[in-house]
Amino acid sequence: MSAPADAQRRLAENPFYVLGLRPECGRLDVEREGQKLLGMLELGLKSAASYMTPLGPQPRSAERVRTAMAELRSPDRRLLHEFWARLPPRPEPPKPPEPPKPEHDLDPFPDAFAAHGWRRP
Amino acid sequence: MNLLSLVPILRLMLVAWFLLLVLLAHEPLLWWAIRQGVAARGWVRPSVWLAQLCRASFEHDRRGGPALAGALALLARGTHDDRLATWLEGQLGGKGAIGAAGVVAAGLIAASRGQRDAARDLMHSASNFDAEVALARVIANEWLVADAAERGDWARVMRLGVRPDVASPQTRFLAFAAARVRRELLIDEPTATDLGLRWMWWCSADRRRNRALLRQALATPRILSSRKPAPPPPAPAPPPIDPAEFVGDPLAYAQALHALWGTVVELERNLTPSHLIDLCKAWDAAFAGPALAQLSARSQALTTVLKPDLALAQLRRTVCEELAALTSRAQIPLAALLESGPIGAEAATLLRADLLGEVEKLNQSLRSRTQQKRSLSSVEELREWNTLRRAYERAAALGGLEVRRLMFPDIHLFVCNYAVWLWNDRKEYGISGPLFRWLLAEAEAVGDEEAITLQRKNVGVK
Repeated sequence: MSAPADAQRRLAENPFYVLGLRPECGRLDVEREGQKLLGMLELGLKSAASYMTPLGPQPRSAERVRTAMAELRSPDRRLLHEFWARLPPRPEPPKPPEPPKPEHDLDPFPDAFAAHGWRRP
Repeated sequence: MNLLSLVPILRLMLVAWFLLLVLLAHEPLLWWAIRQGVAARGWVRPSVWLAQLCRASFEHDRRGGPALAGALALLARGTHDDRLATWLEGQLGGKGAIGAAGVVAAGLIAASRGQRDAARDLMHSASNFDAEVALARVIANEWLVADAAERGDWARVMRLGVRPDVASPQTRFLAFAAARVRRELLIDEPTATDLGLRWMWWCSADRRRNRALLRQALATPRILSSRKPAPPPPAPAPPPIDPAEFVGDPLAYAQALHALWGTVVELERNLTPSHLIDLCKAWDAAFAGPALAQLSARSQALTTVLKPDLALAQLRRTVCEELAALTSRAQIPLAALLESGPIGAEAATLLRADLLGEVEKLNQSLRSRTQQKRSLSSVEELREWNTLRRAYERAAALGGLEVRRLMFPDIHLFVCNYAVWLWNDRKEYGISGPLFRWLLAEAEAVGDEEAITLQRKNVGVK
């Protein structure tokens, strides 16, 4: 059974986000954008080093760009990726909410085992 | 050689011999000396050999007692030594049942290997043994309290730390200090005064490490009633994705909500059944909308081989699998999914099959082992049973009474046969006794009269 981590990966590594394109783009756009990004990555340009997703920025690598291009060359695979690229990428999502702590709570006791005389848990 | 020069050596030998006699005559003192003087230095083999002298303390667990001393020494070493751990496990092996000390030793070895869940299970199992070898149960309780304190599970520290018979000065100090800081009461215990807290700290195992906790406890006023002030409402934090931005587009809204719950930390605390129902309904709306028409149009434009309805079915299956995984991770009962529409019902079916499949697989493995009389060491038997019990209890917690009733007949049949085999052929009373009690509790919960009668007979109650 897929874990929620798969849902995150699907958004973070969606080929459209990797290439910085929207699902309506044409096949030529995919090739052009992919080649451009590969060239920029080879030159070590900072602007190509990351891309935006709905979950925030992700590191971009040449391997990820090539995989994205290959995925979008297959019409069947592209159809499924289009479905999951519905959300527009976001520049900076805020951090996930921290669960509230009780008013009078204690922090974990990292020395608990040592205090019992054990050197390791 | 002058005989007079040998006198000091003879005197020294006499004193050493006298000390050894005293230690042998008073075993708790010998055990204390082994634990503090040998095991604390990480000397595994000498600890095992010396602990074999504690014959009365480990009368019913001849292999477990020495292994326990060795396991304590293993944990006292700076790093895990797998060679020594394997050697210690070898000491636990052999014919015949092991007792509480052996189980605790196995738990400590698992802890040393970094298998915290397995260690926790084994330490809990130690409490199933009768009051024999109290010191093993004290060590198990100390480990459980330290584990809970390290994770910040102070409610557990407060519960376990003051358990009669097995509480030690260190666990009592942690429980009382935690109760003071959290302004809560301990079960059947008064709140500690400042003087009482200082005394417990003085008796604790490591005053230096416990000092910060003592200070924090003393800085908190003592409470005499359990009434706590109402906590302030939590400040609303901005979500990583705001689904409200996509309300006009059902598919984008469902995806945003899905992504939001996929990224939330501590899902089991934050995802409630009503949130899950909202998510399922959002997906129902997304798939009921123009999704198929849009897919058909795109499929035509891209000239795909995959048919649009098949693509939609594939996407729907992915969504359902992920909803099932979210439900399982958040430990939300299946009933919530079933109430939330067609997508929820499909996810519930997947999750139910997954839960039942897991229990079935483990149960069948136990069955075939019982039939073939393939025995494992006592510790491995406990591990295997704990794995099955955990899977069953998880399935029961998520699936409710209906799933519990569905699983119970097979579980009862195979686990009962297994427990009978352990009891009759292998004399593993420490393992099989709790199994019968567990089966009785389950039979009563699902209302299986025949099983109740049988298990009452096995447990020995009327």
